[in-house]
Amino acid sequence: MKYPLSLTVNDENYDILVEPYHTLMEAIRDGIGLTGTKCACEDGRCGTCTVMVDGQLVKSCLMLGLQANGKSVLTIEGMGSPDDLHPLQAAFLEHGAVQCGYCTPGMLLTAKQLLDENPNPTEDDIRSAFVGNLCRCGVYTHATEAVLSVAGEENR
Amino acid sequence: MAVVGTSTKRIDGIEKVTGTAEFTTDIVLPRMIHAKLKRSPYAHAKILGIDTSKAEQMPGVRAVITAADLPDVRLGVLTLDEHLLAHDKTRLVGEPVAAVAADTPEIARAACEQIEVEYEELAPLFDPEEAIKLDPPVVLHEEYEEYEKLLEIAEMDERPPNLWQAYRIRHGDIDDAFKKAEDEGGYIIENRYATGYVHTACMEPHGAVAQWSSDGSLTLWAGGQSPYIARDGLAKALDLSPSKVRVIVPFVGGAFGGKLTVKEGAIAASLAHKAGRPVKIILTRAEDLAATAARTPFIFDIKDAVTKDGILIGRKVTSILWGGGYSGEGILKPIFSTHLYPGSYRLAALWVDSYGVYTNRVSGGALRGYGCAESAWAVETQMDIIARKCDIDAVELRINNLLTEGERTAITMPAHAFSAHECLTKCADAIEWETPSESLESPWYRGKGIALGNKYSFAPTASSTELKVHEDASCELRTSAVDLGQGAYTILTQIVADEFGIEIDQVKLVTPDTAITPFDHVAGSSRQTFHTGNATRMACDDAKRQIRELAASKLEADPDDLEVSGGRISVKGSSKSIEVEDLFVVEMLAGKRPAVDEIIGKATWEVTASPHDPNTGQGEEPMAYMGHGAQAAEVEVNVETGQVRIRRFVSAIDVGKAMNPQGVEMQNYGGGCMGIGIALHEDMCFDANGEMTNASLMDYKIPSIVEMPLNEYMESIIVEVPHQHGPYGAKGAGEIVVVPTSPAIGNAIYDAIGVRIWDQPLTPEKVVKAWKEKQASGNGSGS
Repeated sequence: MKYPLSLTVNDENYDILVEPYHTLMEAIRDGIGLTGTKCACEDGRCGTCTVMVDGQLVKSCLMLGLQANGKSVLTIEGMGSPDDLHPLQAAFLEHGAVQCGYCTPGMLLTAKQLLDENPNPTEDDIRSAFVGNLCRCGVYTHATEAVLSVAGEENR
Repeated sequence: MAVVGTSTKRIDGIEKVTGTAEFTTDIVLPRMIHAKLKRSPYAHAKILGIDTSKAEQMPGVRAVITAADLPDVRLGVLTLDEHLLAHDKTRLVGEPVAAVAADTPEIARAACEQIEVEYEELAPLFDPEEAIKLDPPVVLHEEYEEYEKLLEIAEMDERPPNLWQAYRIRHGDIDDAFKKAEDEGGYIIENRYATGYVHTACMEPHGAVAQWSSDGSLTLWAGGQSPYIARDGLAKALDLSPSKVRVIVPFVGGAFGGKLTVKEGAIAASLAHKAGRPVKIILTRAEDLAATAARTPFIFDIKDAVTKDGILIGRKVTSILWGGGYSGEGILKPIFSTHLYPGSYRLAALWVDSYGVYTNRVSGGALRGYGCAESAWAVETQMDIIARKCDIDAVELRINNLLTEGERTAITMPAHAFSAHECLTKCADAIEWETPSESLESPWYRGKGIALGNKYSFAPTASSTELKVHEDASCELRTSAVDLGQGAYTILTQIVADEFGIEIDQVKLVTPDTAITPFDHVAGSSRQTFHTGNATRMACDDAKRQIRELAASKLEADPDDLEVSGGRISVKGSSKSIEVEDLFVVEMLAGKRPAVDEIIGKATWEVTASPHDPNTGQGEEPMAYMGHGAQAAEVEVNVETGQVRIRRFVSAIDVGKAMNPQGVEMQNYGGGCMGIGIALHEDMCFDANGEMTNASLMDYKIPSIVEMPLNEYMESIIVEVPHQHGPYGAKGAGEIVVVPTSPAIGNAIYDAIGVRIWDQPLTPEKVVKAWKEKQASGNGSGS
């Protein structure tokens, strides 16, 4: 039996019905139709489904949809748009941190959370932040460069 | 301004960073339902019966299929040995035996559990050295002789019943080489190497969406490496004419060799036909890791004859590819792995026997480097051992053995655009090869290693493209080349922009769709920059020829005296010119139309090859081109825990011409990253029943950022030795970047702690064991 779920995603309110066993990732992708949030591992390791819930980083395959009732979610679609890229989105492109692009949304949200909390991260801080994001194309070196380019001047 | 050779930003980047790029997993169609597979729990069993009645009666279930619902055809790449759904036997754990389509994935999964399959368990066979016997304990394919085969294998007095590939190289006098080494104070160096089970583990799992039209034609969306291989495979599996099948390739979340065929897609199509609804199938991560083709292990027995001065004069290799239940995409690996035995070196005598055998495990597939990355592990470790034995520096020893431009390798490949020396020396300089690693405090040790590699790109092969010119002088390239993340779409766009002297954003790429885009062989074997790049240039030439001919009368000039650039057609050496737009006329209600015909350039670039004789490995020119690269690593080894950290990594590859230098750097770092995982920790594990025990990304460990060196210790070097047939001189970059990685790391571990580990991956357990054995014997093992 489906239950009602009310939540805000990228500043828009949604009232949808979800099964109690549906994850937040499924609610976002299948219930709301925002498919920028990806699924790759189903067990929280890879970070492709990373979103922000009330300002905190969440792997949306590890949270039930109903647990997000009343909460505010930010997905990749809310981070920037093709006409108005977030500086991190532009930096990922500029620095070659995008290959197949499947892990990119999750990495970008992880990077955003890092800079929200620590505008001047060191390379070590960035490596610690990206520990939960797997990328099979191996963009790690370029992703680190991209985040550093957006971060404070002193750590470049 | 020329854009070829510049780091143009990827043309699909905006979609990828904003989450708007649509992958197969994202596709939703009206009335779409979801498929799940019922898989075999046994590695080897007879199927006595399948009862689907309970599943069919479940609410929400729309279709259930077994082999009985499918055409009775065997599929495969070159040996057709596999049914879409297990027919009478299953030969690996996880082989699909039935499939369900239902309103939700959950219902489909529950229905699979209600399908009752009666099995008769058979003894499984896992050991390749048992499998290759003339009298093996178990035979997997009793009907092998009846199978259709598209490739001749080496002649044998009697074929071992589990063998599906045999290939020989007979070059020079091998006995004489060993005798010479013995008689003249040289060395004979003989070792056994093995590689492990590695999975492509693409971030996007395998999947497809299938939809039928009322005219009996099928459309399939699948993120694969070749829409045409997929189309023809679907047609064969479902007994359709290929013209009834349309394959569309959305964005692809990585492939690396793992998405050459679309078996799941054919199953989804069959379910969609039965249900009369579109069907989506997306494999779970566990299914993806455990039951789709993997890079299965090789065993290499290698014996080298070397003069006392360190010149390689003879090499004898016996190798077995530990294939799985079906030959699959691994079918050519026992052949392609032999390319590295001569590699870049001069070798007077080479004698190879290379085999592939069936075992009851996951089928052998393709993975970046296709056999070459595996044999490089053996060959380039041997070179390090030889150098130490002869007391010659490992770089110098390699240089002393290198071919020179214009020679042929022992497998008759012409050494053209031969850049091994440059890759090797630039790589050595970058890692400060002459300076030994600093000593660290116990239990940490530091050391450096280097290795050379090659990747041949296969032939025969072909790519076709079409180039349409619009009235606003923008160009539309229609190609079935696939961007798997490697940047093919961007490079092809750069080529069109340069050929027409227009801006990048005036080029539109029509991505793979067999209803629209012409044939391209495959996004594999590092071939698209080379082949599709050539086809694209040629299609541009063809379109420009048409434009010149159309413009000639307007400009009252000979077509040969005209040039097309930046949307203008000009008479050379004169100020007379017209716009491309002037070749179109105004049509009432329809805007503009071509004055004569549509301007569509067409071209096919084809490379033929003389097939190698499977009994001698000799031919004319067996491959399209030969790529070169060298990599070096500095490692830190903890002898108490066995941990190996890559401190520093250098990748120097020859791409002929860097079409997009940042793209090459992305391959250097990305390939290095994958190579580090393969060398150190990626390892599919199986229990005694043949079931994978670590089928999750939690337990199957692909590299994360912490396995990578700090940015200041990563170096990408681009070598550009133009190839005579490459577009602008370019060669591919996608695979060579994983070929030397493992031996470079293994050699660095030896430099650090003086032990050899012969079988990949070089896990902490193996490092500690080898170190303890060395301590116990007071000696290094191996060298």
